[in-house]
Amino acid sequence: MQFFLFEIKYVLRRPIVYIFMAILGLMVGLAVALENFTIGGWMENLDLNAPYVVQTNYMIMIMVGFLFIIPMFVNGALREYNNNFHEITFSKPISKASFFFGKFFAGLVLGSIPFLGILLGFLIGVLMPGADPEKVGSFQLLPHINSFLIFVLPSVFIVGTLVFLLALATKKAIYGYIGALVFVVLTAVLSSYSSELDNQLIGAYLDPLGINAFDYITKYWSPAEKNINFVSPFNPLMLINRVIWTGFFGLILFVYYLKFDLLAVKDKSKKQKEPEDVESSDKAISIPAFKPIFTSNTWLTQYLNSVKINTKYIVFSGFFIIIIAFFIVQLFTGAIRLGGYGISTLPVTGHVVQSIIGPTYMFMVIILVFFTGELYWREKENKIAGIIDATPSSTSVHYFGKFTALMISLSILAIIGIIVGVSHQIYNGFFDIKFNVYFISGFIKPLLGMIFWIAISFFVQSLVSNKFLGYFIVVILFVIKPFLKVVFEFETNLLSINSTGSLRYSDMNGYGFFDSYIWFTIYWLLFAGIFTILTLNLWNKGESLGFFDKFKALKHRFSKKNYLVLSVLVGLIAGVGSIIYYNTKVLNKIVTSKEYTTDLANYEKNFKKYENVVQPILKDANYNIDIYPNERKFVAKSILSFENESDVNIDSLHFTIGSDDWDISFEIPNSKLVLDNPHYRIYKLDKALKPDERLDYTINSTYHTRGFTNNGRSKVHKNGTFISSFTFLPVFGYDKNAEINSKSKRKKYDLPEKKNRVAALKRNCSKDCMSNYIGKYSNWVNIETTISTIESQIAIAPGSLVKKWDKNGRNYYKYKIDVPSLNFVSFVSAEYKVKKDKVGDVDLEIYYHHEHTYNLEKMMNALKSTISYNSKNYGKYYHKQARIIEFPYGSYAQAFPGTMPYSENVGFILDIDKDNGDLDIAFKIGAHETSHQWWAHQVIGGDVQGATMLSESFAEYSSLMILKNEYGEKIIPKYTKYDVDRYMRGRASESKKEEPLYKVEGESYVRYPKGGVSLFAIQELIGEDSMNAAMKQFIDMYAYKEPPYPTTLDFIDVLESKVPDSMKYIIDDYLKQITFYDSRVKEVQLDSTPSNYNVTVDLSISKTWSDSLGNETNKPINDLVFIGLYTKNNEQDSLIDYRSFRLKNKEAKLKYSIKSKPYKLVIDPYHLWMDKIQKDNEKKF
Amino acid sequence: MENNKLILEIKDLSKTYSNGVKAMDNVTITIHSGMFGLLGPNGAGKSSLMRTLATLQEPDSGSIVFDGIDILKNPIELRKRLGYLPQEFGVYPRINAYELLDHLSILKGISKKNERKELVEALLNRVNLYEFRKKSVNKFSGGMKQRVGIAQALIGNPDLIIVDEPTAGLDPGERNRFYNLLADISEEKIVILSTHIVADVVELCQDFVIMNIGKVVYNGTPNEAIDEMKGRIWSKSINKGEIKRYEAEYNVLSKKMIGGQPVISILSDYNPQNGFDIQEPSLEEVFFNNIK
Repeated sequence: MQFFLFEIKYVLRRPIVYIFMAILGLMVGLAVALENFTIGGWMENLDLNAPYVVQTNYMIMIMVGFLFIIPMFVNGALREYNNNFHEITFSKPISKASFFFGKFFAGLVLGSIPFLGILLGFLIGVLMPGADPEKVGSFQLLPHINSFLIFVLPSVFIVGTLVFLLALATKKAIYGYIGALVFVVLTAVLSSYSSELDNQLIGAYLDPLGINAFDYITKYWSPAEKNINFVSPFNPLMLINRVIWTGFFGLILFVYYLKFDLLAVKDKSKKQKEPEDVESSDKAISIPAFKPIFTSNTWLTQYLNSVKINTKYIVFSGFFIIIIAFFIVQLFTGAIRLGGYGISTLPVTGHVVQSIIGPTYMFMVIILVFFTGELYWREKENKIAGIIDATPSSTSVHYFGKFTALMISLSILAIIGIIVGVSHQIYNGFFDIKFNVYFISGFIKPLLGMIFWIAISFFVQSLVSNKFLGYFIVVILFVIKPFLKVVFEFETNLLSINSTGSLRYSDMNGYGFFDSYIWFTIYWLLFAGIFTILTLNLWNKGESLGFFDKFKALKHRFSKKNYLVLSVLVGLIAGVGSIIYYNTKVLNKIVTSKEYTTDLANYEKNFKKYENVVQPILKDANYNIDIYPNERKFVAKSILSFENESDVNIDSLHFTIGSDDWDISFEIPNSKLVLDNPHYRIYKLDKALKPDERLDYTINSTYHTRGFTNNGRSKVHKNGTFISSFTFLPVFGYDKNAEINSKSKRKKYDLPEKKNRVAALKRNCSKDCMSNYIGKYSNWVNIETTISTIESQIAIAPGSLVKKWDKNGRNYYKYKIDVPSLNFVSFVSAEYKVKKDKVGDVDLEIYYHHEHTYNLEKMMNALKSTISYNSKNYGKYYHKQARIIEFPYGSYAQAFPGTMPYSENVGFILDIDKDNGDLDIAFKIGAHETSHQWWAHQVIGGDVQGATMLSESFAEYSSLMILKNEYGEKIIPKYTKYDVDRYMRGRASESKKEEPLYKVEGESYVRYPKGGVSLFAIQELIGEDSMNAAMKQFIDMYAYKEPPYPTTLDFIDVLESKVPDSMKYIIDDYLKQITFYDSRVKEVQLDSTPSNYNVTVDLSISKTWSDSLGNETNKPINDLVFIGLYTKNNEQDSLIDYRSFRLKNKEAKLKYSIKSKPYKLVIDPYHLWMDKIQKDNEKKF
Repeated sequence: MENNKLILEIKDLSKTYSNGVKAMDNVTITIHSGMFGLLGPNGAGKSSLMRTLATLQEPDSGSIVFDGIDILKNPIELRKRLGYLPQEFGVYPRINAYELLDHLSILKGISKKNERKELVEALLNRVNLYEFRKKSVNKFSGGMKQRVGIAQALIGNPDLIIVDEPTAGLDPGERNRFYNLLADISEEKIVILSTHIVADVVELCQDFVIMNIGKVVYNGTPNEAIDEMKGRIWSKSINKGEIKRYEAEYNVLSKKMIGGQPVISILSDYNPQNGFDIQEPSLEEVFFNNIK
């Protein structure tokens, strides 16, 4: 007890606990108050202090708090030993328990106190000026208490045990820190293991900090639940996790206690025998009188020697070896597995390198922070500083020697990463290994990036008088870097510590243009130079100076040469900085997110009044495109033809110009510019356009990245430019899509509240349905394109190739669309190989990068199957060709008329081993995009809620049907399982509101996964024929028809006619409501008769409808439920019986018999229901 | 060589630490070739002076000139001719004697590999550690380590050798051997030895100073110093309870216990009678007289 009280009093009298508490309080307070800086899981529709937000703040701050927890235990454990006071203290009559547990529990209390800062942060944060009072819920203490119980106390206990024991066992503080680091790395490894859907529950138990358990419990929580619920320590999963881990560490603590001996101080030097001394005789041995010689060669010899001994020291140190070991473990277990969620990617070098450099960077930082401290203080700590400092060796020898040694050690780490990457490729039988990519992305880039950090870390160490303080400051530098960027809105890399433009590798585009990366790298290396000059003069020679004395000393230590070098460096920084500034801010623009939002707000305020202005309708578009990949230049001349389809005269033309990147000029005959705003222009026609009159004009759009940009990116790539007409054409009239949706931002900018993201769905939508959801004043357009590019590349636009020619060393192509289409046109240019095939009369073409031949068959197959299935079931394919075109970067695909650009990361390099159960995503994406040729490009919804259901959900449904048609129905649950999860997780992080499917607005988790599953479920219930008949009828009614465009209500009308009365409820459940089922198998029983197996099952079903925030109400049951029975063949489950029952009650007992013996029973095996808890849906017999 | 002419001139050296301690207060000493003793109690400022001479810290004011080099302005030039053995030193873990001396030779500017080998082997032989050259220096006994220390101080044939309290922690045998070594090398060089042990100075030094509370309080040769005291030191065996009284009455220089009985030595220009006997002065009395 006396140790406990003494320790607590001792530490509480010191400022450190309060400083830690203040740091946590400040971070949390700012996170609560500032909108663009969040720590926990705050979203716009949650209270600032919602219980879920409170708990996630605790959860995340525990990781930051490690820095605060460790010293509380380590310093306490070693206080007596460090002051060499232990022999005196322990000679007093004190008990082992009083010391051991006194110190430990003092650490537990002291390590927990700083976390009270989080509570303070919330209390203060909600009162700060940035915090919106309407978003502040009533203060609840319980979430804080529960967070202390589930996060703070157990984690402090666990981490504390670890570092406390390590410190006591080694009597060295540093081992406590290393132990904590190892613990963090191990935890990260465990987390990455449990990211796969099927492992998440195990992962929830495996995580000693309880983070995975918390995530598992809350992953499907709706915003409404997050505002009220919190995880209590008595949640069974959480309880088991916490008991397992605290119990485990408690046991370790106790076992160590039994073995612990107060006075046992480990002294290695005593263990080994000393060499016997011998009499020193008076041997008069003359010592050669070599005089020191100082030439430039001497410096080199000294430097190389310093490099050698310091490299040896780092590389053979336990810390380095442990870190390397963890690095390798981390790479093998987590990082290097590519993909996830049932999808894996081939180990192409670009992706392997990408997965390696994250851990490489992290471990490099750990090593450099640790060893800059170790190396700086090495002579002092070994008490040899006096001798070394009195030698005539210059500080630069030691500084550069140590610097180089550190760089060599980091190189070793990088090389190990590369070796692991290459072995991974070879192990997987992948031999297209690109060593140059490994060298640049995995070696040169990370090492160059570390130079600045090493320099600044040495500088910090040379400035402070304590190694640990140095560590602390350097770690803080890393931590605040992203924080500064957010809080001060440093959008330019000139102000963001050691940030550069990107150096991205793409198989197609290589490294593209990387001048931005080079310039910023030089810029930050120059700063490293400045820190070097300062460090060389601050370097501790001889006496230890106080902080202020150092500056005094600096003044007279600075030689003329130093001043000269320093001014040269400053001059160079100014020069390079100016060049960068000129390129990134003058030639190009950096729009901060604040400026951008302000622009949007002003745009809405000033021009909303033109929303309903009558404009002529686009009828013909003739694009003349010239692409100059090497000059990063794209020139588009769009000759457009319009018709006044209204019954009034149109006297002015309105344009919205969204992007600053394009120079846009108009050639409108007989008109005057009457409003010239950067984002809005009005041209007044000299003579008003009468009804039915035509008007032609031309728009010139040029994109040219002159010099280089801040992030190093350009829309035009060396190889693989993909630009759509939407990026360079102005929007005709007022652009509603540019309006700000965020509720708080609208409030901040004084904009009226906006209920829906798009216009409300209603039965007779006259005005809104006159335009489709992808563009106003444009319906079905005749499109022609003349496109040119450099000699080595092929340029592609939608439509049939009419003509091809060369001129002035450039390739020219003329394309013409076969049927009037949506004016949504893609222009692509790259070096391609082409794979061709045919289905019926349709030419199939895949334009691919020559290396990416892996999945061409599957993609071609998807084109064929989709065109066949959809033509048969929905109606004709109108284009003469269907193309897939590869483009670099990104991971998405888009459907333009007859033309589907695919990112190189989608489909082309997927690793699909169907025998191994991999999902055939290449096929599925192909089927989805190709289905858009019906759903979007034939029938497109009016610009109201639900429009994307008619395109995205329908395409998703079609892709499931085509998969089913291709692979059989049994394949479906593999896909729907992930869809259900994607939907549930998506809605859990919905920041505004969730709409039911038929009113879907922007929610991608509704229109894709939920849309596909829901339509597929309706198809299961009413039959494929009825469903497709409805869809065909819908196509017949609306394909390529002039407005008004259809809405989901029009489809539901068609669908209802195909749904028998007994099943009408499914329209509500799947389309009009947000419906959840909770089904559970209570009991299963199997009796066998000579001929049959009789199955008896007790089950319970409940159904709820949710509102847009996630508040659920119960609904009566009168539903069909599907039940599947499985056998097990060769470790594979196979469905042998699948039938439906109509249930009228929540509880039911079903009996039926089948022929072969089942092994388990599953409710809803195809995942047609949104059921939050899947694991209780099945039981084994 | 003309090392006989070596002169180290220390003038008006002052240093006050940030905690207010005056470590050196107008220290002025001129030192010639040979062994020079710097005597003083703990905290007298010896180490500050030694470290300043070894260019490891900077004084607030004053100057130091060695053989024409202003060492405060040009520390590197001095370091080229300096051998320094600090009061307490350690070594890198897991480094053996050979590697250590080799490393330090490089830092001292012996760049040629073959020269270094010859030099390091000679040094190891000279301090009789050759057969332990592959042993980790961390495991050496105090005396052996101190010999490594002196060996490194000899690298590069320095003209100025500074040894700071070299005998602390050595047993008498080790101490003797260490002094023999020092005496051998002190020819034609300046060797400055700082110590708080009076006997060290008597045995080894031609010249010496006594420092106390940052000031030089005596400057001369040991013999002169003792001569000055001749006939002025008286001693007497007294009872324990009487010390206070004697201290009030006489100029008591030292109190010793001899056979459990206090013996005091006092300074007096005439015979104090009262049972005092005349005592042959030693440097110890000089020391105590000067630091009072």
